[in-house]
Amino acid sequence: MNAPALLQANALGYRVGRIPLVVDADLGLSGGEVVAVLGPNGAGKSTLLKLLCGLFAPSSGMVRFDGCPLAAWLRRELAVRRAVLPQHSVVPFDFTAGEIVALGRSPHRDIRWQRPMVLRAMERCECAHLAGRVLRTLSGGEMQRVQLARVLVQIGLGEGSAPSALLLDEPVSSLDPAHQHAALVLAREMAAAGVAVFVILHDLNLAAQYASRIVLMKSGRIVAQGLPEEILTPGMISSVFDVQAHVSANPLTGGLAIFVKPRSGNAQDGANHSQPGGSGGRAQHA
Amino acid sequence: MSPGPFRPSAVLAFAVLSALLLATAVCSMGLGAVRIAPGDILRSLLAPETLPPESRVSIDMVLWQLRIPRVLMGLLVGATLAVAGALMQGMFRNPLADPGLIGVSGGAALGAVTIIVFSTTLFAGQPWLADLRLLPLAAFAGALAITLLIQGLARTDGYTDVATLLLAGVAVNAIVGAVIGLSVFLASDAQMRTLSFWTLGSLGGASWKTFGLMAPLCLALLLAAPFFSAALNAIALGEAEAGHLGFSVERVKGILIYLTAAGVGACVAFTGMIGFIGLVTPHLIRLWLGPDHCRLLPASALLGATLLIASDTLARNIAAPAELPIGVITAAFGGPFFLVMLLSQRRRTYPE
Repeated sequence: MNAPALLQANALGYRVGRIPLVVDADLGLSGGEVVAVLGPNGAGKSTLLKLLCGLFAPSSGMVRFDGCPLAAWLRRELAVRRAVLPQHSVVPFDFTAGEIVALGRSPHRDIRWQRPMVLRAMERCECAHLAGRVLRTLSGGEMQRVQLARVLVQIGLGEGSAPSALLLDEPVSSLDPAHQHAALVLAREMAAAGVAVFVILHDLNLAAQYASRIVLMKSGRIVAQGLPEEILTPGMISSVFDVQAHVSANPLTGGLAIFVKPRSGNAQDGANHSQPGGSGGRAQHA
Repeated sequence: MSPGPFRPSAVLAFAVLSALLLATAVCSMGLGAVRIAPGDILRSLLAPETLPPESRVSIDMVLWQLRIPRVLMGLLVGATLAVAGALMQGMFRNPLADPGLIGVSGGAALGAVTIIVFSTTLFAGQPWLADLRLLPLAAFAGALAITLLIQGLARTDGYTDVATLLLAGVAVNAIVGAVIGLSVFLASDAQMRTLSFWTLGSLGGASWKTFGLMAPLCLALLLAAPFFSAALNAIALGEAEAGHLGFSVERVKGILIYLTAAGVGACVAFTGMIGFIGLVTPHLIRLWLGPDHCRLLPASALLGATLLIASDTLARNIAAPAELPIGVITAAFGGPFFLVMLLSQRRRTYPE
């Protein structure tokens, strides 16, 4: 973290009234990396993302994008280089999926001339066949893929000359396993094209498989960050998530495979392996 | 590509809407106590010297002093109400918002009626028309206050709550009803006739003078609105999302609220509370052309003008020589339409 990062947060704090939601967070996000944020519910992950994208003004500390404080950026110039995917959104009126994706070009003011890029993004998010459908008639997972295509179009699929950033709040929460992997493969491809990707995940195994760096949060603090192998240890997982954890090798990928079970002794036995909070162990196709 | 809504070409749509408006305007100029044939209207407009001299004076008189200002006023009011409806629906992210329904027109009427009451008690003997220039100001202030109030009331976590929005409208309209009722109680017979038109609306007060007074405020709204199309499209994704797309949402909403209050305030000041045009028109356009505000706003202006001129023509002729308040016509068609909309929206929210 010595080289200046594209998105840099220093001593970031945010509190509502006297309740601190994010405490003293230091984080740098550089082009080419996929940073996954993990943590239990209420750990401050979404709040951190909202601070990083400027939706919330920090109570202390500062966020810089490309060296300049967020507040000093013109909104539109920032929007050209940084896209944010919210957790869920409701769209009134009968916009089609294609029209929604095209809205990603708003800050570039070239919606009319970018149909090919819109279609390309939708193909990469496997939703091109939905382009003519009305968005609110789609399933949750289909909507999520359409919104992902919209943020990709906003940063020009990472093909622009200036480095850009992508902030994703649980982008795979409604997706089936195949599309979860496809979306995160896409995040990796964006990173390979030079985009800095910040993604909130809940699935430890997905994070282990696709993140180049893991940030662990608990009670508003970043408790650890580093390579997946360094961070996702049984001790760390059990202390942050309050579960029993076991880490071994994923027979399909050779990477990490993480298994968890509730910490309290009253768990029956192996039947609880697929408990929420750690969906380890299921066969997945990468 | 999978089946989706068909979006007709914008050029064709605007040609159809313009033709419809023109035809309605000509009909409206021709129909009434004195019938004027479309050919005579065109001749009076383009080449008055070709009219037979014996009918020329009366045709010119009826057309230029009565019908044309009235049609132009209808055009302006219809376009303004429809565009204001489209802006509010876009801004509140809700297809049920409408200047009349959520109390903005009521707020404007409240301001205007208060002026009438004050002027009759403070400046006794002075006709309310003497305060013509104060009326739009008061209507604007009333509309603005109500818009800000409901915006504050109905928003929770960045989303507008429909129930609160509509209930706020009910409350405001009730208060307006009380003030108008009180004014009626205090008013003389002559003032009562003037007051009663606030509740239902009428283009009966149309003249070149009133047209000139309201035109700048309405035109400000109509000409500025298209510049906010892109922002309104982005706001459909959510206010935070529009911010991430580079729009200053708070500033856009601030400007739109002032423009709407000015435009609707001006309309209500001179024509009373005309309901449903602002609700129904954008909805019809969305069904036909889709929700893109780049098309929605200008198309709503054209259709709103057409609908209002048509309603006024009906109101003038249906019970001739008496004149129905125009609000009776728009409510008779708009009310059932609103019910159908509510039902179809419920079906969409709870699919079987």
